[in-house]
Amino acid sequence: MVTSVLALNDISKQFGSGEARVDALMHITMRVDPGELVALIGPSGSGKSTLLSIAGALLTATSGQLLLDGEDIASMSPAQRTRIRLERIGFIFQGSNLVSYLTGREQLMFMAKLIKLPSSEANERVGRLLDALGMTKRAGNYPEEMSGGERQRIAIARALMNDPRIILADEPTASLDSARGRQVVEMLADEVHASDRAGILVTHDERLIDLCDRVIRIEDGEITTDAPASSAAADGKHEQESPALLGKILRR
Amino acid sequence: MFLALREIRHSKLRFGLITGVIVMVSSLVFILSGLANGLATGQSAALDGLPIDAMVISSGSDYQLDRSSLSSGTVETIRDQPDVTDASPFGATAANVKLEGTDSVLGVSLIGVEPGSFAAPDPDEGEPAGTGDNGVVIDETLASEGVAIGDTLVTDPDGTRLTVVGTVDGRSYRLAPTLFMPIGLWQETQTQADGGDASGINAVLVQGEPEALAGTIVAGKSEIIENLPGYTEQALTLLLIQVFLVVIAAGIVASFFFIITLQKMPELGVMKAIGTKTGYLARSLIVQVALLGLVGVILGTAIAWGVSLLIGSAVPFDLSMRQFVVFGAILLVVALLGTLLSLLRVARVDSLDAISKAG
Repeated sequence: MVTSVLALNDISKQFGSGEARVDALMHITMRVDPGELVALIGPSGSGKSTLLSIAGALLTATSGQLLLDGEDIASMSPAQRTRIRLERIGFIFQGSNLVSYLTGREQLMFMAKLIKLPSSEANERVGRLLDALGMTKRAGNYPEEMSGGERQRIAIARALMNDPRIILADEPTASLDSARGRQVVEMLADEVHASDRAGILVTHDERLIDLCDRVIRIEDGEITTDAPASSAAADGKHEQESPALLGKILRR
Repeated sequence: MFLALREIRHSKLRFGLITGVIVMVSSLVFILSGLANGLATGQSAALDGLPIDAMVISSGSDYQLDRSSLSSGTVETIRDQPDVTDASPFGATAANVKLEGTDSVLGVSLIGVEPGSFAAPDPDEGEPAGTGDNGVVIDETLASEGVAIGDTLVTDPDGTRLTVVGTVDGRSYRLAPTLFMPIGLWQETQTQADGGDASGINAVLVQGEPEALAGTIVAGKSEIIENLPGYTEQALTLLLIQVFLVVIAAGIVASFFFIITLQKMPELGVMKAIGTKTGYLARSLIVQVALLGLVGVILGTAIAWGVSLLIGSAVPFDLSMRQFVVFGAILLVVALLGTLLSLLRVARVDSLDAISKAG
């Protein structure tokens, strides 16, 4: 069996304590395999951002196990988690969140500096990514001079600079019209499918689900659906008896 | 460096304004320091310029030169002491003189020294004091009021005629231009003024280590200078002004950087989320402050220097290169300390903020 790139085992997250205690996530068990793009959907407040934050080693879970390539990263120190994020995770944020005073090319060079890539290799990788995302001509511009789609493409390129094991995309299409949003997700899907990386796409837009391989629906901190994208797209509300969900029910 | 320089390049106006603030504040610090130093030097330059190790003054004088009175004979007694290399009489009083042929009264300090001794200043131009009939050497500042070599000055009101035979630079005393004259001539002017002892002097200047005689005390040059009337009070006031200026300057620079840091919080969050270490961001900020501070202080130095040339000798201004460097370094260090607040903010930036809170 292939080792999952990312595996969450019985992850729970609580905020606050006593009366003010909020259960943001309850017994989440899920996995993302190499070459697989998973759509994470759910209404506002469902816990999907918390889930993404935990998967991205930005937030520690209250309990449970978080495996990246089989290695438990849940118990790591903040400094170690920073290194994990730098070396093995690619982030794409809502509204791209590029550094305002760096040109497109410099955004990527900055990542290269952080991961201490030798300059010849850095130049080669930056050139290849800009080319792959069709941004070579616009790479000398600052984010403020780019369209939303262009910014998001630079953000994808930036997320790929460290050759990550998993790409975590947080509503990358939020500020784009549907055609451009779809284009951006297509690029993301291509990038995941063409490699043995994994990807998680948090989105509101269910029209993008067909570009993904699997859909995980989350409501009130619990996974309600974990199914191949083809069936989920057909009926998003229907609860699929996934192994993960089964496991969760059995534990109760 | 990568981030620091690119951010400055991209936000030229913003960083230009901060540099402008540093330039203005540092030039203000430099100019005020120069004026403060000028005042201090104006008080004590004539004493600063004396190549002596100590002074012997009368014990009741409380280290104040004008209240000290010794007889001329003391000089010989001191000179004969085993640890004393040389000794020389010294007298200093404030007086009014008139330039002959005019009515304007000039306030000056009359300083009596032994002609040819170590205490007699070498004139920059002309002959030493004592040359010819009642020859005196004047301080350069008096020359700027129109007195030249060959002119005759008349003490007011008693009318001793003095001939200017030389000039010397930077020897003012108690903010008045100095007239250096032979000690004998100085004693004459004293006699005429108050009818006192014609053989009296204020102090004995000593090279070597004198022992105090009965009724006298030994004082260092700095003790005498600090006890010039008003000297310490003035120095303290000006020092406080300088300290407040530096502190306020640091506060201003620190606030500017703090505001910029606050504006950048979301961006810093993203950078942390993608794996940038806090130390990297902190270094970037420090490089920016150091760089802008350095540029600002250098420009401020240039401005202060320009101003000092503009005001010329009308106002005493005195700031050495070493002092520029010291004040500049203090400003830089204090500005860097001021960014500690911003650094704390950078350390507390939550990378989690990069993820939308909507879901």
